[in-house]
Amino acid sequence: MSDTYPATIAAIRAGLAQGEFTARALAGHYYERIAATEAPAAPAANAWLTLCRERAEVQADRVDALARQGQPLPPLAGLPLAVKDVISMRGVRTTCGSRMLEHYIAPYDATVIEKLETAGALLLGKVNCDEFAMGSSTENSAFGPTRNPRDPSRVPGGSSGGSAAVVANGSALAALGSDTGGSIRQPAAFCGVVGLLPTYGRVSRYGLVAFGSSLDHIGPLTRSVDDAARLLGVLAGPDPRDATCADVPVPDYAAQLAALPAGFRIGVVKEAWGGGLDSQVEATVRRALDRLAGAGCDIVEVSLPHLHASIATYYIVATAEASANLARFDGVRYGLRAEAESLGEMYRKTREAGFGAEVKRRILLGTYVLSSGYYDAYYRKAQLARALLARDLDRAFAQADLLVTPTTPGTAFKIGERISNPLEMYLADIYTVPADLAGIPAISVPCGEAAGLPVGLQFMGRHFDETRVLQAARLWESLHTPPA
Amino acid sequence: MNISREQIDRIAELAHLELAPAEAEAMRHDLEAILSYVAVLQQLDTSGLEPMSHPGGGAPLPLPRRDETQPGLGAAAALAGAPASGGQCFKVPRVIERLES
Amino acid sequence: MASAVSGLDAATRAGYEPVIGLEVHVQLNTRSKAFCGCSTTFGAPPNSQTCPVCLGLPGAMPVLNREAVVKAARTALALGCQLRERSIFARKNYFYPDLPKGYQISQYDRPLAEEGGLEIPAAAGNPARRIGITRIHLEEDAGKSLHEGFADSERFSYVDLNRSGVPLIEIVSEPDLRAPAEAHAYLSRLKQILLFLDVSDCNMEEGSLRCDANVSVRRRDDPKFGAKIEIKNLNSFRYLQQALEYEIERQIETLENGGRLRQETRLYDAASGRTHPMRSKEQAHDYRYFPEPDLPPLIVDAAWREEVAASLPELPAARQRRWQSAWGLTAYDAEVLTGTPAQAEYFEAAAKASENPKVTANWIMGELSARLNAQGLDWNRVPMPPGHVAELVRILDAGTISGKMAKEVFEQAWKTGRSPRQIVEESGARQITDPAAIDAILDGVLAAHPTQVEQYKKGKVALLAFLVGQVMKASRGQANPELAQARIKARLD
Repeated sequence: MSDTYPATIAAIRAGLAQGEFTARALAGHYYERIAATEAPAAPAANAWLTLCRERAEVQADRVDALARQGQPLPPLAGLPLAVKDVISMRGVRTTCGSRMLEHYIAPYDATVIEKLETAGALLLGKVNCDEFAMGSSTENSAFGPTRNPRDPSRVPGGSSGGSAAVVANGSALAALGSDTGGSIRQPAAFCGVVGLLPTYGRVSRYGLVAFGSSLDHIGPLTRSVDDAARLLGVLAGPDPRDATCADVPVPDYAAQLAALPAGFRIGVVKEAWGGGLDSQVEATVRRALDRLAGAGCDIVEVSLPHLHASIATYYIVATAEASANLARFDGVRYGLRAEAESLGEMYRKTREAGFGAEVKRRILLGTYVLSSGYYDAYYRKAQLARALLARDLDRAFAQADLLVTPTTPGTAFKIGERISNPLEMYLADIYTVPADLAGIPAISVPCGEAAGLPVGLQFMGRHFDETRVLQAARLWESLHTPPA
Repeated sequence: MNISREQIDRIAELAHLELAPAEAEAMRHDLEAILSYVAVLQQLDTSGLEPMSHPGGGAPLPLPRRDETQPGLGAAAALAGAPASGGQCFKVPRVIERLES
Repeated sequence: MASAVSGLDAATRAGYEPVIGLEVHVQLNTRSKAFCGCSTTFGAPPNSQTCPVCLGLPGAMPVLNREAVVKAARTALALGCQLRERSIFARKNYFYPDLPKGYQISQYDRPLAEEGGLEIPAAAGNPARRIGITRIHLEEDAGKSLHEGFADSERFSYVDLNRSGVPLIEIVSEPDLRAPAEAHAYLSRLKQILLFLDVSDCNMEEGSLRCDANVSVRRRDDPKFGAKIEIKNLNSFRYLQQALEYEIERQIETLENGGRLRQETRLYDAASGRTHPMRSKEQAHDYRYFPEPDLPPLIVDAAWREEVAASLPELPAARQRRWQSAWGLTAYDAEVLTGTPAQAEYFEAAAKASENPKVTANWIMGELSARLNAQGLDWNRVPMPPGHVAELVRILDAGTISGKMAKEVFEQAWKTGRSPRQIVEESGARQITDPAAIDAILDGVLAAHPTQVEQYKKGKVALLAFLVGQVMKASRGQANPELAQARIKARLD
């Protein structure tokens, strides 16, 4: 397909402006690509849950009209984009990968959806994810696992597995994902694409179905750092409908990638080595660090002494918040309802039938850690541990502009391989959860392969310093990807 | 960390989740494993720290909004997804007693 | 009533002391809801005032209404509370069909305000004193579940979410109240203050003021409190007092019969006048409060606090003191005239314009109140402007008309809406205060009653009143009676 159409946001916009092709034709091309990747023979990616072709074509026509009239095109004009199915789109089914919301039609647009359409993007449809974004493999979707385009027997990661898969398989140029403990960066790493976690409060969450509200983020998955920067530029900024969305100026990220600084002071987290880290992944990442040093970066060793506690902290905070966030799925106003004689029975049967095992597990854990007699030992202690981890990160950032780790300890695993051991699955989030806990920005960029599977390199930055995170990722990308 | 079946049942009741006996046992097992793992937190020295519930680096947040009304969805859209409704209301199996506020 | 229990004898009863604390929920009268822009207007068609936020749709988020904070803070300052600079919203988790999110946004361990108090007048043999206020916090209301009025109400309840998200404050008192009458006095004082602050319409029928009570009894010599029983559904002043009276008797009787009381929640049933325990399941709540991650801490800094403090109106107690000291009103009159903010404003305006507050007070508490009552009007809808009352008092003070004429003029002004001055001028119904004019009338009277004049002159002074009456009659009531009397005496003595 890239033979026919350009594969970057900037090039699509330029091509449309110059009348080389129409957005309508581009949309048609992507819908063909979707049909091909979802065809049973492929085998089916099982990434797309709902297509909204009519809406995308109306939007394409709007862009084409502007181009015909010679008017300036909005920044994401014609961008064929997929939306993780945890983000509300008016008039479109929003399932969250759950039986509970299998037939739920959202009556309103998330703020990011409004922003993207204003910026000219074509929202092709909704893509698969772990149920309510709880998982690391997309196997927890009620609509079946998504396959990794690099190896269909393997998971694409999760929870934004559908988002990563469609960017990797070329059925969308970019996707929105959400990240609570690594759900953008880990699937990006598994599928060999770029995944950006913005600072907490940088992008409005209004319309993102909540999992762990103090940890949830919306961010882009793309094929290039430049595209991630352009998307962030549109997504970022304060929102009167999200009280946690910061009133902080938004730089022109794409412009700041045009001229990179000579080098960065990059802190390598020493606790990240060893443990469950796959030796081939480690070797790949170490090679990347050598090349960054060779390109003028100052590589220093930093310590996150409590990194080992981050998973425990994360799973207490996230599940506690989730236990409240998922209480609204009660069969009263929308979504699934199991018929019952009494109200209590209706609640229990609805939630029994509507939620999958992982969601129930997390609701139970979250209910437990908040319950009378356990709050201080678990929930409050986890909030304190969270503060401790944030302090560790602050200290590390006193020594370095950016921190670097592998995105994940291993590469994409086989479908079904880990589904029976939830704790083992949780432990693989070790490198991604600290950024969510502290609310700092991070990115995963492709960094080579281990045994033929993609490996991700993660950069973390200070609060609201997405600029440096993107610049470092761009620098790495330029070293890693030979110029065309 | 031991979790009893009674504890699982009590938590499930609070969360309004119905668990079949086998499922309850599996959940009990998983929760025991997870809670044993998270015991690592008890060893952390967190003295002098405040519990962190709002990340975001202390960035300025928008002020509370002005007291102005905005059009809502309207009753028809509000009820459009309701599994059962009547008289422009959501309809549920009868509630026995009311706990006000 | 209390008699629903039994005949505890007075001595037994006197051996126990009731201990009562009230939790009062007040709907704030903001235009929009606490966390979204939906209207708060009462009585709209079901679910017509709802949006993704107050319906609890997936992905919707709350945004705090500034005015709700202002009204809560105003109440806190008026009740002498400490305002917390940084308060925290918390989620209170429980399932109920009219609680759309499965949790209520409330405040828990760091509420907006704490440690205030409220003066109540003497009641039930206890002197006037200050009742402590433990805390005031901001929260959102739930929707309404309708259990009656539908063909299948036997089997189904119906949920209207128009009320979901309306801002509430909860005002929790210390367990300082010692009698149902004191609880009544506390709640009425509180309501009066809330009305003066213009933070709520306090309409108990529409549920904008709701009350739960915690009540226990202990032997007079026991320093410890007894088991605390919470009573819900006390949604009128009468129910509050009746429920407390019943519950106190019930608790004393239980203890007297050797029974034990345990902490529980009971509902008041107005029809039977009794309280009954809630189903035990409802009591097994564990609300699992934790900080609301969707709302940042609420910061009320010194500047904001000062702004709220500066906007506080003069409260009823202060007005009463001012009216007594500056205007010489009796304590009773001052109390009556501060019954509602509208009444106080009406009096204030009339008294200032008339420059005779005491007489103005009499007219307002007498003639005007009587007519409002008779027609079922309240002080927000007085057809007669305060300027008209003031005008009448001024005309009266100037001696232009007599007190008797004034009542007629008032009646005319009330009926027609015209100003008293206009009525007096147009009817010519002015008092005759010219001695020459009185003499002219007197000439006729003296000539018509020679016998009485003769007897008066011989010392039957009681006939003076008869002669004055004849002058009044001849003048059709317009003669100034004092002047008429003076002229008779001048002519005959």
